[in-house]
Amino acid sequence: MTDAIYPQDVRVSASEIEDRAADWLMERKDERNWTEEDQKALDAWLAQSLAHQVAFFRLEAALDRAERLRALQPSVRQSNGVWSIALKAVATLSLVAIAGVVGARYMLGPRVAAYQTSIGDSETLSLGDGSQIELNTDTSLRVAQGSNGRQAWLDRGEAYFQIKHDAQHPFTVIAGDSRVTDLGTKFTLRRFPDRVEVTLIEGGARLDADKDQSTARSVTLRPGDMATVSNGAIKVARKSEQTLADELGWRHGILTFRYMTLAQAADELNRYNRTQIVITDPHVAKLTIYGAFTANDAAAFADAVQTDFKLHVENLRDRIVLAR
Amino acid sequence: MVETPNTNHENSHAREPGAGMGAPEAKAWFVREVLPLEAALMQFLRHNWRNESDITDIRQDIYEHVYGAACQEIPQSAKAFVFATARNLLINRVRRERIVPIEAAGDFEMLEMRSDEPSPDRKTIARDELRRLNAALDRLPKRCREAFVMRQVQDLSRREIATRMGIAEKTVKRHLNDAVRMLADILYGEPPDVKSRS
Repeated sequence: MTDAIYPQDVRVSASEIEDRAADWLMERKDERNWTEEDQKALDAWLAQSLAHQVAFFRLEAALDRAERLRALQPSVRQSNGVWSIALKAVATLSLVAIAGVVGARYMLGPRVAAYQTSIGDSETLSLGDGSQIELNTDTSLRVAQGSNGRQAWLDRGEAYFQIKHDAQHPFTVIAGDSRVTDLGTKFTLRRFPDRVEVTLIEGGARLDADKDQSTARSVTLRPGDMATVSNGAIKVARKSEQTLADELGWRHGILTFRYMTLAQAADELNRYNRTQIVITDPHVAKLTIYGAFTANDAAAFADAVQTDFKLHVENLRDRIVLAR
Repeated sequence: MVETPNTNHENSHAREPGAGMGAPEAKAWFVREVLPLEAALMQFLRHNWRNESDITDIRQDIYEHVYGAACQEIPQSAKAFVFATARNLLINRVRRERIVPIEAAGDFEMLEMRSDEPSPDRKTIARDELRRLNAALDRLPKRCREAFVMRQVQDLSRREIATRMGIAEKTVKRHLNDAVRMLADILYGEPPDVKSRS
């Protein structure tokens, strides 16, 4: 019986195909080095046969599961020594504040749309101009697109902006008293009760504190800059690529804690869950953890720290109490 | 009545290679409905085909046909379609290879599968799967796992991993490939470990 699908009878083994599929996947995972040409080459390889497609989809799905399930190796460990080193490193980070005078003008677009996510949810908005905004947990955002400008307001929470640059119609985002004007860019913006944080991933953006005053402070952000605006003052710190990747982990439902106190980690996790992690014991609060976790699984987090720190875990209806 | 899968190669070349590229719903269906059947499928294949070294190729063959058909039209019952395809392909293979495995002489035995089990709530699944994933990772060879975690969790490039592990980039590549393949085999190809279920 002849095999019409493979006329030249070059039936490649499933194992070889699978190996090639794994190659592509791991290659693509390295986003920084993945080019449009690479994507084209992958598309071409996929188009060659159904066998390539199914092998690729299968491995891709397995990896996706690994991605989604997160908490790959919740390697929590006690490391007081390292924590003090990390503290010193933070203290030596150069903090830069640049003052400038900017005319604070912005216009309101005619159409304003409001978006909201509840706790643990996220949502991606695609704007007509090709820009994308991803809303993290518990976030409120309004967007206006008018003929003479594009504008958004982050009223609450956190969002990741990927803005298509248009010099004629700059995109501005307002969060409290701060305003970010894109200069062709990807950035995250997060509101805290007492401050606003802007992290620039790609491109450039201008950040103005005190948006309404003529004496506003302003800085131009470069990739890797993390700016904090508090009481009208701007502080900028440089972040490693590693840190930037960690900070965007929420887009895949992942939270990475590197030498963070348990209290800080719990605060972060609590943003994503109705079931709150509660720590009252100051000793427990100061324990240092290192690991990646699923954002919306407080129970898995509690399991992991329970095992590693030998903590007592009390599961109540709406909260999980960690104690010694 | 089960839809009859077309496993006849002479007719199936009407499918242009890559015809499925524009069928995202077929891909979604394949991932959602077909891959979860893999553990049962592998059991079926091992039961009905004695040459273990052929199994991966046969599975791949089945997936290719099933997905190819789904690109034309999504079958109503994934389970029935996958197993009917498997059965037909095994028969084709027996004919083609002019060998008759003892088991294949009779009827192919269809495994009973419990599809009506109540599905646990999402949270239980998530926690269960988390354990499963961790168990799967634990079973990877040490170096393989190290490389994979650096890639997957810490997001390091192959070069960075090579530097950290003190090995060649080529070796890193092999570790990563092995890791993702083994992970897929464990996650899809093996029945969930009953002991770890809570």
